[in-house]
Amino acid sequence: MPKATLQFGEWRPDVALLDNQYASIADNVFPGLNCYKPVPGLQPISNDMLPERCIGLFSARRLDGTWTTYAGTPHKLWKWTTAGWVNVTRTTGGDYNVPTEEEMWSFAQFGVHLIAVAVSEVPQWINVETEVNFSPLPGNPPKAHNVHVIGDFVFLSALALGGTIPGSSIPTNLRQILWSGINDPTNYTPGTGLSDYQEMPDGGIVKGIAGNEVGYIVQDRSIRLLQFLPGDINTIFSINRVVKDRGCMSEFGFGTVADDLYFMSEDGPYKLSGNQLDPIGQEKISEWFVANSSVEARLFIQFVPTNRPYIVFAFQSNGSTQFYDRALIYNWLLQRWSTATVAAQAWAQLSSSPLDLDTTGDEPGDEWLEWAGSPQPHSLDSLIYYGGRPFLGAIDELGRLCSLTGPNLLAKMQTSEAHLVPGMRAYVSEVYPLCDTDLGTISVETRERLGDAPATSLDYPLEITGSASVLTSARLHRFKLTIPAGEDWTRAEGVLAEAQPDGHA
Amino acid sequence: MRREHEIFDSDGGSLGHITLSQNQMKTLATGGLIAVRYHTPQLLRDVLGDRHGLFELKLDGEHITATDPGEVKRYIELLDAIEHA
Repeated sequence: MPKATLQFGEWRPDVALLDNQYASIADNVFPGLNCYKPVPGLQPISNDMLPERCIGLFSARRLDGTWTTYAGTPHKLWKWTTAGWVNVTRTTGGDYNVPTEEEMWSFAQFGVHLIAVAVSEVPQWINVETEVNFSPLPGNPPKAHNVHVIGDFVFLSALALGGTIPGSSIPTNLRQILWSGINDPTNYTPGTGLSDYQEMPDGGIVKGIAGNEVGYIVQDRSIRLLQFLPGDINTIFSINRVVKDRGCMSEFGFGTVADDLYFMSEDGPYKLSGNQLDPIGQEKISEWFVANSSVEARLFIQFVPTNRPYIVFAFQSNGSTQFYDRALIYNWLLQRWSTATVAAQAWAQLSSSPLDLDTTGDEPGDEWLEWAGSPQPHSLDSLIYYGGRPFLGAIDELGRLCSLTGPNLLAKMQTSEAHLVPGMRAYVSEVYPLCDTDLGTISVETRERLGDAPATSLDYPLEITGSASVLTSARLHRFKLTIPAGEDWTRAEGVLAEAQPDGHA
Repeated sequence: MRREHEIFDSDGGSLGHITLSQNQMKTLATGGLIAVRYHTPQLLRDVLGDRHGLFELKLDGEHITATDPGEVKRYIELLDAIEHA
């Protein structure tokens, strides 16, 4: 019987998906060169829950090389320990009051200090080595939406309305950035110690700053390159616009990998390398993203770098979801996309705190050891036992700190639509997934004409033969493989359909 | 705007007040010398002119003293101008 191989090719929902090798669905999978790989689910590191919605997450590095994770909620700042979340909110001034409808915490580390800003609050800082609580950042800095470190300078950007530039009566606004004195995060007086401020004359409000030695000022309608000019007291930083009429929708929807800036614009994602703009979603996923993301929640689209060649844009699919429920995954090496369906309050690239394997006496975190009777023990090769291992972390719906290392998520991959027997109807008896799973289902979308609405079959289980008996007859076929959550598998390439002519339409 | 730190010349005469950062005060407190570099903020140069300079400060007993009083005065003039710009 003739067999037709249909690959789960590159996921490109924006192009015509007829008789080609593109995939129409690739959910909860990582894109590979010629296959898709499973995305693990969120594994709680601790059952301790943040008492409020998480609106900021960051790992700060200590002098001994270990890392400490901090989180922000609307009213408090928190530090994670193996004993749970510890309140590290300022001790004077009362709780914070971050307006969650427009803002999240922004964090940046400068030396031993972690700086946290939100537009409603006086910038905060904490010495991660010695201090127990956050306190106001010295130097009388104005309130700001975003904090970032470029070289030896702390940058505050999108300065809150209603304040003044330190040392002056110049009012602050959302188009301004202010940088600290060189190597002095306690000085924000422009004109002193190379501290200065700039106001973007056009391009809209500043969303934030990204980058390392070469920085990017990201606005909602422009992007400017920011470069320190050592020894130049007149200029200090050169600022040149490199993108006009395009910028980032979200204060959190951009970031860099090496010196490449990735950002989510009104019409989809882009990559900016120096002044080279690359619309990485065009004719791939941009239209899909615009159609499948909540307009109201686009202010909160979050860019998340990972320790693998992937970046993630977490977003909300509709206005009724409180948290991120979907994510776009981009393999920047292969330039391929996929999606994930995972609910999380906040995402971040984190680094693990070590969990002590010692069983002598009671120690924080012992409840996570298998022999201590943990309900969710971590395997002995889990990254949790190593300090400082990078991982993609999140706060799940319940407020628990998690790593993306849990059981595989429910995966779905769908082929493009195919005329299996050109010019004729095709009868498909069996579908054999090219995937190392023995659990899963195949569903088939069929139609006679492109103008018809596709009819979707039941989910047919894989049988002992490794195939699913679908028994469909139509001119056009499209096959979807669904692999249940928790199933171990490694790669999925496509399906092999047994098809034969079934008369003319 | 109140500036916290009074600066003196080597004879004990007051030069005026400036604001030093917490990091600069820590350096002074440990017996270190600090260099204060100043410039007219870029967006105020049209109004205030292009001024810049450098002076050093050290802690001399209870007084913060400057080795170049003229530069400190010019810096304070600039701070005043920025404040009123």
